[in-house]
Amino acid sequence: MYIKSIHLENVRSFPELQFDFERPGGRFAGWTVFVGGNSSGKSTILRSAALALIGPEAGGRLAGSPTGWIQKGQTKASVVLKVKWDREYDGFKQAGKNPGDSFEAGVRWFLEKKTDEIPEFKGVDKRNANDTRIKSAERGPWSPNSFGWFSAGYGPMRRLTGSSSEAMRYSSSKELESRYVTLFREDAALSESEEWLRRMHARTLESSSSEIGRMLEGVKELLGDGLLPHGMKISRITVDHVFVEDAKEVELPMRDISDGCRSIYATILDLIHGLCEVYGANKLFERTSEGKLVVACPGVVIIDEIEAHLHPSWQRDIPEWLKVHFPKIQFLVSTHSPLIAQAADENGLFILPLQSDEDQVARPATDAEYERIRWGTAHKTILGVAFGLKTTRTRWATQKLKRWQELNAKHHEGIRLAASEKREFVQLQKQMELAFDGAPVDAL
Amino acid sequence: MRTLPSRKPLGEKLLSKLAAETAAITGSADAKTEAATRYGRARKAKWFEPVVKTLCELAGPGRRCMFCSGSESSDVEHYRPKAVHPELAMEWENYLWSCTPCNRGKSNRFPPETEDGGLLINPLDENVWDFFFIDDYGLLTPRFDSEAGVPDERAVSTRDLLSLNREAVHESRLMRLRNLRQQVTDTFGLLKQRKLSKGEARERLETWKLEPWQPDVASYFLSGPGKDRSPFKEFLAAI
Ligand SMILES: [Zn+2]
Repeated sequence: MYIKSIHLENVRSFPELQFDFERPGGRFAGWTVFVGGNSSGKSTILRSAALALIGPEAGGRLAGSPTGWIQKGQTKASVVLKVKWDREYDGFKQAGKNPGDSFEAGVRWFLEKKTDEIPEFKGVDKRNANDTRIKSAERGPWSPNSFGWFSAGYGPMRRLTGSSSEAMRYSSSKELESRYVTLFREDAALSESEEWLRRMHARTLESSSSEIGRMLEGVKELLGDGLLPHGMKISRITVDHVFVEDAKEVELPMRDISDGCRSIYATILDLIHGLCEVYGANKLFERTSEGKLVVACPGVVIIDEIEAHLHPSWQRDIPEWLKVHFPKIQFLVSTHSPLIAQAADENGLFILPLQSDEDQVARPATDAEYERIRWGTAHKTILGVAFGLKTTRTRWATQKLKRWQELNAKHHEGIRLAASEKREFVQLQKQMELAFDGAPVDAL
Repeated sequence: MRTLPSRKPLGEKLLSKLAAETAAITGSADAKTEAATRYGRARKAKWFEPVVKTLCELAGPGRRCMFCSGSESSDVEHYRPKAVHPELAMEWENYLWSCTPCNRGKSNRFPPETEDGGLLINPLDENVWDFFFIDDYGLLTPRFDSEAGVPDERAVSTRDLLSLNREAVHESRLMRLRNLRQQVTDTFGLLKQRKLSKGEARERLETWKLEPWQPDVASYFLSGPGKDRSPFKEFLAAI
């Protein structure tokens, strides 16, 4: 399945928001990015989408208290997705008429009485012409027993170890919300997937299941294909550990590698784990005509602040890696990083203004803005419309440049500088060459 | 900021249409709302197009922002905000041409409800080089007011409100300056070696003046006070 569009009404800081995710040619897979400052509502959009994907029951367990979702002064809020389904991969539970190529899945919060403090959290009622309830969402993505409908969500604090016991209970459950714990809970970890890998390994030892064995080989090959730096790859799986080895053949347990590596490893492993549970081990991998092993299952993957813990070179490379190795996944990610934003696919860049910028509304980037960003440098992107920085220099340097202008202005009018000013002027003049890459007379 | 042609008078018919709109605004009980509505409607209307066209002509090649001369797309701007001066919402003399970042800097920090924008230098109706110069690093610098003993107050507030040296614009200004300096030096060299005639050098000069890339640089160094700086001074004296 894919999300065709999202519509928010009165959810937190958004009175109304409508984003369409269809790319040219009717595609949805690829990289869709939300950029904006802190408290611009990026997480709200991602979490809203998650709740509508898994429905009010699982969503209610996951989000905890339903307070705080309705915009101040309003009595109801809703998020409605148009979901496009895939006949090959997604199946409906129970008898009933299947929808056309897409259907609506929505959740809403409402106060029964204006004075109520805790809102109700329910599914959005959708009826057909005969006033019969349409239950596509209940029979499909919201049902724990239906087939397919893969989706998952990851928060900025995702990691491999150190989960609180309650968060642990969520992540190891078989329910729909298990694939979204870190998006909603900072105390959750992705340790389950490493355990899953070891369990699978143990099973190959007990019985010679060639299907699982092939799957494990696939996991190793995929994770070894240029994902980690220094040629790192999974070297060995034992019943106790998953071992990683670098190009110099130094081996260490996966949980001991650096934060950035671990966070990416854990996320991708969790993704493979989830896809394997949903579609089955033998449907997981596919080889492209160039011989590259990829995960060819569709679905929606939400990642909040994907750049967390990542070195800039990784921020630049990871979107590409994910797009190549999960070619059918629709990635919806939020970021503060220009390098991540630059990887956005067509119609995949959405700009959220700061809450203080009242005359601006959340909107897709225009074609011209998008082209500038995808062809541009990170420096230009940071200064451009998506991030809107006036300068990338420190305040200290900016103040110095102003001081230079002041002294130079005096000098320019032919006013004598005092001795101390003169010393400062001469020194700043030299430093200006550092600030602007060369002496003023330098040619291009 | 750059030197712009003087504001030319609009046609009689257009002026009377604008005056009629102004009368409707000032006659209304809620002038601010009326001004916003009427301006919004006019901006999309056919009859208003000559106003936009005239402003674009004044802005010159590339229709660059009258404040920063940068490359962001520009639109009609009220020098005195229409929310404070609804009576000027449809006044030709109050119109400028400015880009979105400049406009945002102006409206964000000059809340239109309380301030009238008076500290802002008007690039179309004032002589901008009385207030600014461009230094060797392409920084648009407020001139020093020797009587007050501080940099010119209005120039400083204009630079800071609109961030006229914001990195995106400043980098482009510095590149244009380095490029122009190089072109002038090269052309001057060819001239001295008699590989180029004075007429050909003058032709080049005209092309540089019309180049839409960060036109404040050409305005200052080829037509403004920057003509006194080397190598522009020597080159201009030679042709
Ligand atoms: Zn501007």
